[in-house]
Amino acid sequence: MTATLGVTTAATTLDVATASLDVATTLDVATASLDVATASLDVATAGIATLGGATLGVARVAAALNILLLLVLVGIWGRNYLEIRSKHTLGSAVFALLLLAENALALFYYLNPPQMSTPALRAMMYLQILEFVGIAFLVYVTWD
Amino acid sequence: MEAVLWQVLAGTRGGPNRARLLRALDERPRNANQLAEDLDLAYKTVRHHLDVLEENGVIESTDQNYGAIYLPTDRTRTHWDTVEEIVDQLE
Repeated sequence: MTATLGVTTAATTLDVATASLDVATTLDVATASLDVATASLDVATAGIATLGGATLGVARVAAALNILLLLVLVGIWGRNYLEIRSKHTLGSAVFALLLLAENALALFYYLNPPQMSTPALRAMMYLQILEFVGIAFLVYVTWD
Repeated sequence: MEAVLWQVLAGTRGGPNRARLLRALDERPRNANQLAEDLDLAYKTVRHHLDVLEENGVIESTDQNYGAIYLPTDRTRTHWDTVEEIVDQLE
């Protein structure tokens, strides 16, 4: 009877030990997973930060290029207006001048960026790029 | 046609010079060499301007040979008041 009890107790102790080991292993795995998750989050955060920086950089370059191209247009149309004083030549020159002001303002904001969400910044960048394509084509046909 | 005249003669870099060429051709049809001499412009410049004007239907040449004589098209003649508006202000 006593012997039987002893064996039973030993077996139970073994069970408990095994269970503890299982729990410990699970905990290890869980900790490891958490580590991986944290690392992934770090990578993702860094990625978003880089993306934000690139977006701002592209927007700045586009705005700067627009300013240069618009200076060319203001030069051509301004000179034409001096030779041919008409509302047509004046209209073109004023248009280019105001678009130049818009891009100068945009560049100022890109260099001193207010708190802005990444999607908003990306949208601004796309507008600036589309504007660049339009202005570049206008310079191409006006250079003739 | 009026929009084309404004664009080609007043809205582009070479516009004012093209307007001078057109004025000269209205006075008397000439070839590229005579135009270069009369307006004191480089032959290459005159050649380029004549091509732009011809592509846009502002002027036409008597034939495609070397030394072709250019003159304003009928289309340009019908809108001559627009041309005058531009040309009258040039030196």
